[in-house]
Amino acid sequence: MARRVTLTLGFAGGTREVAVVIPDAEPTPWQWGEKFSVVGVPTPRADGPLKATGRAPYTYDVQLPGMLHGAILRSPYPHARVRGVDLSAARKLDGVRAALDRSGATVRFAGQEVAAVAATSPEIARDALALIRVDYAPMPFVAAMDEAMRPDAALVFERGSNVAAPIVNAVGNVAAGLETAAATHEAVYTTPVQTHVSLETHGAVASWRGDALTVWCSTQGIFGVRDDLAVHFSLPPENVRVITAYLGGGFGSKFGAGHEVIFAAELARMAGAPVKLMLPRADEHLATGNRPSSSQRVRIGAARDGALTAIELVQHGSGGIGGGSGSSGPYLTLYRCANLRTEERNVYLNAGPSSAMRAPGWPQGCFALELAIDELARKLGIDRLELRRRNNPSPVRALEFEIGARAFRWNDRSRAPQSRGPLKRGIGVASAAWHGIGASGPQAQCVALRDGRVQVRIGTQDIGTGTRTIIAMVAAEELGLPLDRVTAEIGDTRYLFSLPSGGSLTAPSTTPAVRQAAAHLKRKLMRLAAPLLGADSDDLIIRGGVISARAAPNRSLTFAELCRRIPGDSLAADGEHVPNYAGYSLTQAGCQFAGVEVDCETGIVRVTDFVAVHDAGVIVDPLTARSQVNGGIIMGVGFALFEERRIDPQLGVMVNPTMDDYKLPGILDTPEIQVFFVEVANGITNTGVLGLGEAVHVAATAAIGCAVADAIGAPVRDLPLTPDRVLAALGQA
Amino acid sequence: MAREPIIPTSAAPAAQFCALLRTKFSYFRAPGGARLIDPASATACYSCLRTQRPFGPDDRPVDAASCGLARSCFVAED
Repeated sequence: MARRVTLTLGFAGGTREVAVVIPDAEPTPWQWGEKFSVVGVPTPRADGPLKATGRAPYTYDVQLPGMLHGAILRSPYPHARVRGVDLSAARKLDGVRAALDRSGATVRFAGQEVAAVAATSPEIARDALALIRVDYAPMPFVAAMDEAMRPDAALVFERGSNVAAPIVNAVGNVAAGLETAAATHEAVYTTPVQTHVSLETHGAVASWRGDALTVWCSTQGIFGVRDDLAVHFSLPPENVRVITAYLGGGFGSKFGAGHEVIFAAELARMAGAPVKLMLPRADEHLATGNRPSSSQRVRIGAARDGALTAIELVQHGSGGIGGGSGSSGPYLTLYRCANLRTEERNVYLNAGPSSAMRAPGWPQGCFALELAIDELARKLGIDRLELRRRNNPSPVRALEFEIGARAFRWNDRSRAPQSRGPLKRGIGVASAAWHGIGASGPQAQCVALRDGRVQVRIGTQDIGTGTRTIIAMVAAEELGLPLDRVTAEIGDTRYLFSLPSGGSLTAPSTTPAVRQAAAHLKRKLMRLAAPLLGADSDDLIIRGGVISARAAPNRSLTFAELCRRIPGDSLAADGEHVPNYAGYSLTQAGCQFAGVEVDCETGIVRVTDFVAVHDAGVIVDPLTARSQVNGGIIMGVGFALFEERRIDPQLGVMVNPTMDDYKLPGILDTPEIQVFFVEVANGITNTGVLGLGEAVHVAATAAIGCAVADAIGAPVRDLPLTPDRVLAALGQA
Repeated sequence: MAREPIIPTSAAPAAQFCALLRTKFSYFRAPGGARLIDPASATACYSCLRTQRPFGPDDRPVDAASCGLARSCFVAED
């Protein structure tokens, strides 16, 4: 049975009635003006003390009796035939228990895995790698995109081209749109390869018992790893258990069973002992993924009133031997434009492969598009924020612009005279969008224990976003309990299925399943309470851990008292995320404002302050939500100012695969950040929670790039905005 | 014009993707049960479960457009 309900959905800028059909077992979605007791209260992370004191057990911390240590030998050549691999000397080394050859016929990047060993200590494993003899026949390679695109370039793959077929999106007529424009702008913008630099490297601990495999894994998706291992080893999925109690970052690079996970399991099976294989930092930079580079030729035009008449992107990008280097998302989404065309081509190089990385393609595209918008605004003589307002399609973002501009003092700072001396200040603004609306699949179980506690069990994982905390908060809200009565148990494939944590999908996908499970448990508990209170179960309410009858509030019992009446040792109920409803909007808007200070003598850029305004639907925990915004902006500072994979063009090897040489922002590089949320009751699910992780990263680098151009009076169109590039741009200003 | 899909809501019904083709959204499923593999995506990074690399056992790049019946290493989904 289903029921039809009319929801009041929207935001402070306006609401509307939306009719939806809801399965009978599903709680009515939270609406505009909903009153909460637990949700929305700033709440410290449930696992904060464990993390802060070093007691949270990460994969790296797992120790098993008799455990061996794995290590991987990687190719020093960017392209070579492998004529032979001799493992005999390594196998003879005292302490080595297993070795395997994974060379294949050809290596295509410096860092590609060739062989692996397991030994009784990490030191012996490393010594064994040195004893492996590999007969390489080096081949021509390409290490730069312009080089790879030449007709006579060495081929990364023997069959085919280094340049993949284009992916084209088009609407209207760009040529006509440019023809009618009052002002046009054309330029090329470039972004470098960025690596994920998760603080916990990729890796796993694998242990076999007969044909049952248990793997502790640093992963964003325990069920994906389980299923990959089941396929690889031809096992039924129930024979594979994957555990991720805590994860030290992934940012998109830790989906499925990577080579290091499969090697650990293979070595463990060969050796007949558990094997831990955690990658060293250099391997993390070389072989576990990256955000691809981009070269974006942008043509853009606008009428005299600022209305965009044409946008065109012609892009090439490279993720090394991988694909997926597109960046058109912002072009197709952020602004209204009737004439729009994007053409994206992936270019293969002999370099480590790409993988998904926080808002794939969007920070690159946003940087180029937003800088182009600024350059166009200057030609039109229109304030940069005003130009964005005039082309903004989102009513939520319109409110966000207003909130952000006020907090950032955009008007005052725009009119401020240029600072004297070598330190120049500038401001920038950029739009963001994402679609963290959740996906079907997750199931959850809520269990009331006889001692009055409730456990929420769900096979999701916390990639650092605070999942444990918000899951417990949603269950406590639905059950009418204080938060300290509820704990979340996650990170184990023995719990009910949930999705990988990526695409900003965890909060919007898991919370509806948790809320439904909690609602089902509440129904069971109320049936248990009804005869005790002499009331019908439908007439009972629970608030603050006390159950009472609506008609006779003086008759009540506590949740703990009720739980002692549970006939078994616990009472459980399941829930699921039913397919999303139409809701209010499928997109979420955001915008970010950045202030910078540029030293015109040294070219050094300092990001001074940020204002971020975002829609994340219903905000469950403002503290963890703010934490995500901070993280997205800091990562944007790194992409804007420091981070770049550097490859030696002569040798084809990455020259900065360390935390020393690959520059990341530190605490002194972190600006003051003000965060504002525009809550939107979207009714897409029963919670209306949206994902934030990617939305808050999309615009950060772009806002900084725009602010730097404002400060020095000239755009720096190539990331990162290093001192040499800033000084060169100043020289042309 | 199709907006660049961030979360594809349906897999191409006619396409047969190799069972060993992997990308982020291959770990997600549409309400009908199909893996969320979107050949039109310009940002999907693919790999092969057999090689654990972005190229297949046949030494060619893997992606949703090419990892179908025509490849010698194709493995059908159950």
